[in-house]
Amino acid sequence: MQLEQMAANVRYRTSWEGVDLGFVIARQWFMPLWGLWWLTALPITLLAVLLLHRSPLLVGLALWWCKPLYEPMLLFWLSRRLFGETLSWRELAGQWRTVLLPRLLANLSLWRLGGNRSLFLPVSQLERLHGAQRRKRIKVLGGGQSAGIWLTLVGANFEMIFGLGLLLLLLYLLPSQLLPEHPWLISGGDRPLLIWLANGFWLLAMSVIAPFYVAGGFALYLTRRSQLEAWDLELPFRHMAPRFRAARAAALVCCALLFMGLVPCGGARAAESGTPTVQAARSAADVTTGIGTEQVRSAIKQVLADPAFGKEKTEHYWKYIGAKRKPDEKKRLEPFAWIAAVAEVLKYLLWVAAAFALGWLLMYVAQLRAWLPRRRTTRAAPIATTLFGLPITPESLPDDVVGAIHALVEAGQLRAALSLLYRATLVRLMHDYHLRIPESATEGECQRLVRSQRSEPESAFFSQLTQAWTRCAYGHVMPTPANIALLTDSWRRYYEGGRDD
Amino acid sequence: MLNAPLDTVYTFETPEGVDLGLRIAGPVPRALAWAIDAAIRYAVVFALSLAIFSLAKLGFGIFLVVLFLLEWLYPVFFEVTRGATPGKKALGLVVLHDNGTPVGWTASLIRNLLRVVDFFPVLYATGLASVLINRQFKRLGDLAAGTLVVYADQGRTSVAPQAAEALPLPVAVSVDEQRALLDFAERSSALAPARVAELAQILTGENGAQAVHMVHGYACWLARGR
Repeated sequence: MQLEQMAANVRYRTSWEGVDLGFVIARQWFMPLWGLWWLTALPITLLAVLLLHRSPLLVGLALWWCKPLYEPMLLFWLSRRLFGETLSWRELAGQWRTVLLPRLLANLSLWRLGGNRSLFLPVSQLERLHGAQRRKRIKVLGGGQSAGIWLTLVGANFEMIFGLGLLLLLLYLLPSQLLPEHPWLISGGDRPLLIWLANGFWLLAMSVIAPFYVAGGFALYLTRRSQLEAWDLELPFRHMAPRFRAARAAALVCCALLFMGLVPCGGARAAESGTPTVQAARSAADVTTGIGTEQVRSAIKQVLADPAFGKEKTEHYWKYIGAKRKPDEKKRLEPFAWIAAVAEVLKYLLWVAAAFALGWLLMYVAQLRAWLPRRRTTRAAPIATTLFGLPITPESLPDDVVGAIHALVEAGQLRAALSLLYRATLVRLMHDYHLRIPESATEGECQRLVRSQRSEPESAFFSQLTQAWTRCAYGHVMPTPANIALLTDSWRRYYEGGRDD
Repeated sequence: MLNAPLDTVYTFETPEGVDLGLRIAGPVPRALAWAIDAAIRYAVVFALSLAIFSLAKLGFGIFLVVLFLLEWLYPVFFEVTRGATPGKKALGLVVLHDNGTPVGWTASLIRNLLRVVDFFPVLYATGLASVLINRQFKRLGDLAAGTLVVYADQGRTSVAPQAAEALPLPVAVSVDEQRALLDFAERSSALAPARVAELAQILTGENGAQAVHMVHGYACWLARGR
């Protein structure tokens, strides 16, 4: 057997890992193995269906019983493929007799239920052992592991799961109206379709699992042999051997020359033949200088004794370890002590909860207070006297605001007119309608306040006014006299009457 | 022809450039581990049902709660706290993240909640198909959670090498080859004597006991120095 040519890695494996390796191998060559399985299984299936078509249960049983018949071909092909040789159909067909026949009768009769079928198949088929020799071999290979039997048992269960799974999947997918009308789907009757379906799915499941089962057994067989024969050691040994032999031969020559005194300097030769020889020479030199292990050890001890490598120091100090307990008193209370402790903890938890509740209540009240007295504080707070640098007091306004505006417009002082109008509006809002405008408010904020607290048309007017004023004040865009007249009219509508309030 | 030899080892390279070789477990040991876990779970449920049904409705309520917890959280609890469920432990398996770190709550929850999907339509048929197809033997839950089920590295128990006179190695050998020499010394008592002699002969070219003695000497030199 050429271990170097094996497509699987040679290393030390447990038996379980051997089975797993078989699954990897089966996955690698699944399609050819699957095809090979059908090559022998399909004729048997047809034969069984032809002969036993009256009782589908027997067909299923027969197909299952004949499983040992389908497997040797797979093993034969795989054992060649794993070592790099692909068999053609013709070669397979030519050798079917030698592949199928060994132990076929035993496997189909007495040993059909044997647990290690796929593990022992290579013994009879590849090693071609029989009789006492085979028994001995099987005993060695089968010892020390249980993976072979479990592979068979679990494999059978996998088949069941797949077969049943496919069948159930089909039944799940059938429309529910179909089943009550066609009860023969479920219960036998004249045409036990269900059993035929089950047979079909079971056969399919067998075909899927068989490559894994055969490869698993074969890989387990290889693993067992590898364990027993240490293949994982043989490969590196073969790899090392040429170097070992060459080096030893060189060393022998070197030694011989040294002893004969022909070469004055052995070092040069050693350097030529590589470091290991130097190592060997060095160890030989150590032996000659006579420094023993004992001396080396004591030297090491001396070095380690140096404080630089750390030292031990003992320190004494007092440490409180608690008061001496009086066990008698404790013991008397012990059965109920934990209840008291729990009660104590609960008490503190209750206090904490109460504190939280109180805190929450206070915060709630504070929030209420923040909402409720808003109006009062509004009234109480001093009313702003200037806004954005403009004096906003009733006193700063002329008595007849509208007249004053007209006069200013006619005098051509449009900016002063607009300013007066704007200020008058703000004064009315603050003093007659109690709109609270903080001193820090901007024109935009005033606008927002008005929009939130005054009527829709009034706030529309106010925003028009604000826009005109900000354009004039900051953008130096003068309003037209007509525009001012329009705004004044609106103003009169909203605020002229309010003055009397 | 294949590029790499077939094996069940999945190699993960850490950011430090260290190759972690994880020996991935296949469907057969995993199915057995599941069977053991199922047996444990049902034994617990059975014992509980005997003990608790005397408590009438309360007992039934507790029973349902425990049933729920056992069904969904039994694997999660053991995988996160112990690395593997008792069944997996019995077969020497352990659950890891894809990068070799121990599995955490998130990944374990995902892989175990998705058992529903793997179970469909009956007894993990979907999960089985996935395990057979996937290169790292992953079921759908493992794919979603990014977990692996691997063999725990127990470290082979090191048998003291055969007592022999240490012999310096004549050539430089790689780490793997050193390991092979040490393995030879440790395992030679378990192998057939004829095979031991054959292996030693391959390496040294000497015959029989002399060769074995030499290889043991090399191993001693590697293990103990002089």
